Amino acid sequence: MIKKKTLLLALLTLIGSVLVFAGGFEALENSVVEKTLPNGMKVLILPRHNAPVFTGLIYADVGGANEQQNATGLAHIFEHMAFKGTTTVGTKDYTKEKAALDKIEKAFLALRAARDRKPKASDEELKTLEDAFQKAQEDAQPFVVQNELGEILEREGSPDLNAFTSFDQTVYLYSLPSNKLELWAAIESDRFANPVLREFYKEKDVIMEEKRMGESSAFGKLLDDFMAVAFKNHMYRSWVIGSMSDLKHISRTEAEAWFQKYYCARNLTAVLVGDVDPAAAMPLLEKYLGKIPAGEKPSMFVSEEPQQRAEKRIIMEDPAQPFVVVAYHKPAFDDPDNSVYDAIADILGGGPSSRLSTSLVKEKKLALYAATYTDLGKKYPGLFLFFAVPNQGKSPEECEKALYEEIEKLKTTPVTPEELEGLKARSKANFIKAIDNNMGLALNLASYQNLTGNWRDLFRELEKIDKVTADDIMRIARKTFVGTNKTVGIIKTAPAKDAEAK
Amino acid sequence: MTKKLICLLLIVFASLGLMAQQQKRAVDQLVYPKLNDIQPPQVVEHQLSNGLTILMVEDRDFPSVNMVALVRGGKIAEPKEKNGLSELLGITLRTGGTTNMNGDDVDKYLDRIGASIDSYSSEGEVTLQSECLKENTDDVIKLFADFLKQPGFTEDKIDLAKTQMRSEISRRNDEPFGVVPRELNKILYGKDSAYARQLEYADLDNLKREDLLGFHKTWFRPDMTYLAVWGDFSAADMKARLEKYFGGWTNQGPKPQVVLPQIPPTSYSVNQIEKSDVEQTFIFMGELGLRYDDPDYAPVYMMSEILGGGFSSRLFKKVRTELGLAYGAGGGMSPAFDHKGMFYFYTSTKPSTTAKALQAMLDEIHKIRGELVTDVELKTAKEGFLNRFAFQFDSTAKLVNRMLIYKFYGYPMDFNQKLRAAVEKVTKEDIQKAAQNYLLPDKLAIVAMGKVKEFDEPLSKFGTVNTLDITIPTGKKVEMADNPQAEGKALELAKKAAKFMGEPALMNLKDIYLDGKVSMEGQEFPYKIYFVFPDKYAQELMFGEMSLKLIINGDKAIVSQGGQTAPLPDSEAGDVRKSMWTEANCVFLLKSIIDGTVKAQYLKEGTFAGQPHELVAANTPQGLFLLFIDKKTGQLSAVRYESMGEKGNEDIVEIYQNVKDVQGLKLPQQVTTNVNNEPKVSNKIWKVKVNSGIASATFEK
Repeated sequence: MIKKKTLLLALLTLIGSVLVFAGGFEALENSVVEKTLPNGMKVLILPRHNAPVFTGLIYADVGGANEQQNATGLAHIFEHMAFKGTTTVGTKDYTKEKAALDKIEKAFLALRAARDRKPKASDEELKTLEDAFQKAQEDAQPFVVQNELGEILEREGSPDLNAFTSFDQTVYLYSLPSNKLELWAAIESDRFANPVLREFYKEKDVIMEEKRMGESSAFGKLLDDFMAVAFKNHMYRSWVIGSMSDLKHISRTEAEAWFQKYYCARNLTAVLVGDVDPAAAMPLLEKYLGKIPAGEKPSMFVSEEPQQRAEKRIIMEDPAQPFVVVAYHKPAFDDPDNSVYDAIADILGGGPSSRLSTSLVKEKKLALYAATYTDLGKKYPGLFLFFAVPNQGKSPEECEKALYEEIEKLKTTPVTPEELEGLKARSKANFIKAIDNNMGLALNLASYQNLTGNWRDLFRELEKIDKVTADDIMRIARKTFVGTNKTVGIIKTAPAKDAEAK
Repeated sequence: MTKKLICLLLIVFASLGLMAQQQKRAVDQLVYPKLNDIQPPQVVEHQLSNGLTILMVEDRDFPSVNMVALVRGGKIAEPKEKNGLSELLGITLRTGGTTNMNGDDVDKYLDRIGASIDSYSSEGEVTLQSECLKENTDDVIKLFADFLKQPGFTEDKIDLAKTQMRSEISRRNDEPFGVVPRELNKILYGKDSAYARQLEYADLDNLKREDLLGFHKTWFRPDMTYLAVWGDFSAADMKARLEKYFGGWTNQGPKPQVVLPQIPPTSYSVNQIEKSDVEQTFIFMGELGLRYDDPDYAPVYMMSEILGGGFSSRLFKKVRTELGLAYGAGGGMSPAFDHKGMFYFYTSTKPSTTAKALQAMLDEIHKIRGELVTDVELKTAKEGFLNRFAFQFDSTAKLVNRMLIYKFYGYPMDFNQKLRAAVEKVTKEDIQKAAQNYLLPDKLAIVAMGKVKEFDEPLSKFGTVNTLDITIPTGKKVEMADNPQAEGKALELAKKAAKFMGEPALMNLKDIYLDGKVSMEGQEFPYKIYFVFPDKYAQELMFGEMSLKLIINGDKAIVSQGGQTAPLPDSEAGDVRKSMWTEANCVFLLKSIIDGTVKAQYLKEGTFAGQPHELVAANTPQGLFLLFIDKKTGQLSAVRYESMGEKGNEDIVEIYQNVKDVQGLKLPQQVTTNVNNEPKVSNKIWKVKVNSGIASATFEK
């Protein structure tokens, strides 16, 4: 006998699978479970049961752009500090350790005050204070269980413990086997409710090495200087890692103040994607993440970049091979025209048949590689970039000229229907690649939730691309790609042949 | 109670107290439910009658289809004299289109449908991979099959690829972490080995279209190709499509033999690279390791995890966390499937902590050999691996690629399960034995690159230092095949030129000083040359009040201005070293040919300035020089060579004129230099002093 229940179930399964095939993403979107906890933290859970693993992330709505002059690098410093443990993880005896840490801080502040003095403090005074500071650090070491937080997570099976800081966001993300959900919740809630910024000054040394690593390539150096030129007022001008002077100067007190201001529950989003059952998980997350104090949503004001009035150019001479980047100011990520910028970036630079590849790489053989990038800075008005890596024997200026030819075409000739067709197909393919894994999904959900206010906007992207017209592209090109809105950065290979005796 | 018992009780209570404190932690009290079973998707295996091996996995999550084909061959299949052929093929396989559709049309087509097909070559195989949306599956499979069966290799795309490869060569020293592993590879596997050898400009000139076609004909055959497909399809349907498009592919001729490169034994070495434009010293050290399927792999793997893998590792904790010397520190043992892999350990630190960081790393290597690891470390490493196991199955792509590689190398399909079982059994003693047997300090090769002058201690602290020169050779790479006849004649001609110039004055020459004026591009500058044979040379140019000095002093190359010195960039230093050979009518080059330090061969008779000349090619570390020796008089009239200019390779000819006797030597008072056949530079020499004794301070700054 065929049971009605069986028929119904079969029908539902059929409909379910049709939904999955049609477009393919509705099922994903409809699987997301969201909740705002009593303390103001937003939680998103997206179940995917391909393998017994999940990715969890905590997104803090703060980045390098929120820093102040004289204390740049703080956002990234705190990110490092978040791995140093808590009042219970990473310590042998917190009571004793706290006293030792306070002593370090006192010693550093005294040393710093002396270093900052003008006219200069005497060498003897500085040496005394430096020795006291050194000793205070040594006295605190015995209480430390080094890297305990990382060790626990690695031992329990995390293959990808990581975090990153950008201009707009600070994200802590890693995966675990799915039976360790409670571990994730316990660690994340502990680390943002009770962090202890131990080994602070040692870690600053590590960060300074990280900065030196970045500056060991001409490209790294150029970008750092380039942002400072492209932005005269807005804090996008300050490269996330901060200046060496500020890195040396910042104290633990400032880092703790940063944490207090920006790491309250109201400013955090938690996202889990993977082999998670939302019904069972949510109470667990509430229990643990609920321990993070609500706080107040901090102000996101960053002094605006005024309209650029003159073309800017920066030329760096270096033994490395040449390079050219051309940037134009563009509105923020949540601007209604943002998809038009995405479309321009793709049609001009998104593939071997893109306009830049065809012109600069294939036809003129000027560049090894030429592309676009549309998202340098998202939360606030950022930059749209064109860049080219010149072929051997070709100059950055030749590539620059070729880039302008392509940009001018965009202003005068509408893109073709075939190009728009290709744009849609490529956008769909790229979308799949971005979200066909737990980590990509988690990151995108968290980013959209914070940048546009609604995670569902992730799933609206393809529709927005579909609506972009040739007129839109011409309009935006004419408005944006003008000389007064332009900053150019060039790496010129080190001094040309000098007047050698030949 | 006895004192001893009291002490015992105190200890017990104290540890209970400590345990109690730790037990209060949430993290220690967690009880985890059992892990859901791993339910990997089914892998359907199939083989066509032509030997093509196929793996298929259905995955309906997203509306796309992906393919990967591995073709046996790769770099190890390159004929020795065709260095770079596999890389060129890796690029042009895709860019050159097929015999049915040229590369540009393929690009446009794929872009329009949002699909991609990419190719690249590695050590042991050539890979072709594709991604497309479900609706284009059939067309893309057909195109993919065409690429494997009948690639186009059109000349325009070969040229383009070579241009790109030249650019890659010119950029190969720009990223520090691209340089040091490459140099270590050359030391461990041998610089000519297919596992390590690098591409030079001259290699590219030697590669032709028929070479690509030949390689394809020999190596691209279904019975040496492994194909994986996964995505939104049914296996039955996909099988039929693959049969349709690949079934007709045939195996031509006998199967080629895969010959793996021999790996020479290595010994301890310390290698240094001077690089002036980096803010840190980049350290990369290692030695030969194991094959993936070696019975000792599991304990070696655990040992290398403890030593260098991740946050918990000894290298990370010591060099980064404890000493604060670096952002990145770690390493491991990277196995290869069919030959010995390698141990590698790395860090980067500011110049003034170079020796300190290096010593810390070496201490850790000795420590893990000398003592058992701790129970906590063993637990972390083993449990970490076992707990991470589920991640080997977290994406279809990962799973399929793993299965494909196993098939390709003849590994069992459940190899990773076997490895897991082996890891579960590893003990602390196994780890120490592994370290003692395989991580051998007397076989370590150390490479350090940075601002050598600013190191806290010289690297000679760690052993005899080899200086590696990473200068990219600009001229033609010359393999002068042994030809005693040509060499004999070259020596004869060199002596003839020396006689014209003035024997025995030439052979007795120890140093030379020139004072003159150079004109180029409408401007004139006074200049001086100081040269003490064999390796101290300085060019001093005067611009009004200022003077600029370019100095070569043995290995060092510096630029000096107003007493301030800076290292001379590699490419500039190369040019200055070239000048050492040609200065003053090539005196040093002639001497070196005669005393045997430079190899030379007679080429042929030619004409120069309307007069018959004999042409001799001299092969120096700075490239090839062609000498024009007057057939009648023996005068060395001119020298020709290549140099890298701003716009590419330049052809340089220096012409020696107005020869005058100076202390027994006939030297030119005028030198005209042609660049690409146009006169560009003119030198007038006012004064020459020979064997005058030049102070060594001249070459300091």
